[in-house]
Amino acid sequence: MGSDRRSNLSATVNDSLALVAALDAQRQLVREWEEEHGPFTEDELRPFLDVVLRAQLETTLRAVSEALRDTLSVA
Amino acid sequence: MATVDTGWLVAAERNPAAARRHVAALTRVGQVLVVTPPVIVEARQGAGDTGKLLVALAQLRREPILPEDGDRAAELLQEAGRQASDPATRVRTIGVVDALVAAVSERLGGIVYTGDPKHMTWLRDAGARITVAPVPF
Repeated sequence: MGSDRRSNLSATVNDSLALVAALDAQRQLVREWEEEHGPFTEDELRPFLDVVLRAQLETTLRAVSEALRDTLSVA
Repeated sequence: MATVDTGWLVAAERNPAAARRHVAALTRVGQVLVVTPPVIVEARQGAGDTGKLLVALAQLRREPILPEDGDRAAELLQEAGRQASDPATRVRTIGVVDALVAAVSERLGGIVYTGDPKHMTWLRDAGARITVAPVPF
């Protein structure tokens, strides 16, 4: 493995660990709210989950569409 | 990761319970909500209740602005201006803060929760690879 690739890999691993740590911190925050105010109910979260999942789906579809366009332009 | 603009923080200051539900929903699907320095500045300048704003800010991961974000924001603003009949007004209306939010969002995964979908839609139409999601509360 060359030094460029090792350095990119190292950066990717660091970014991934930072993301995991950030998600853990956010989970801890949610746990603290639930201890304080009681657990979030499905009814409370449903409209927010709809929005979050729709945004995630739109982002995934855009990425797939861009990848397809790139592949077709190379071919 | 998902990014917020100043509108999210303003809405969170007004409705902290709904902001908590939004963060809980994001957490459930494994997404982290992030905020950038210019958004913090803009929100603090306009805050009605600084205490509530600081509580809202404490829910978010802080993400730095990189030099390449500045370059990308400038490109997006320039292109958004080109697409308008009055480029200077379009660029001024969008503003540097929203352009930076779009640039950072593009770098981090592409979802922006915005209180002003029009500005982000102009930036998306200018080429920003972002999903414009209105603040859901």
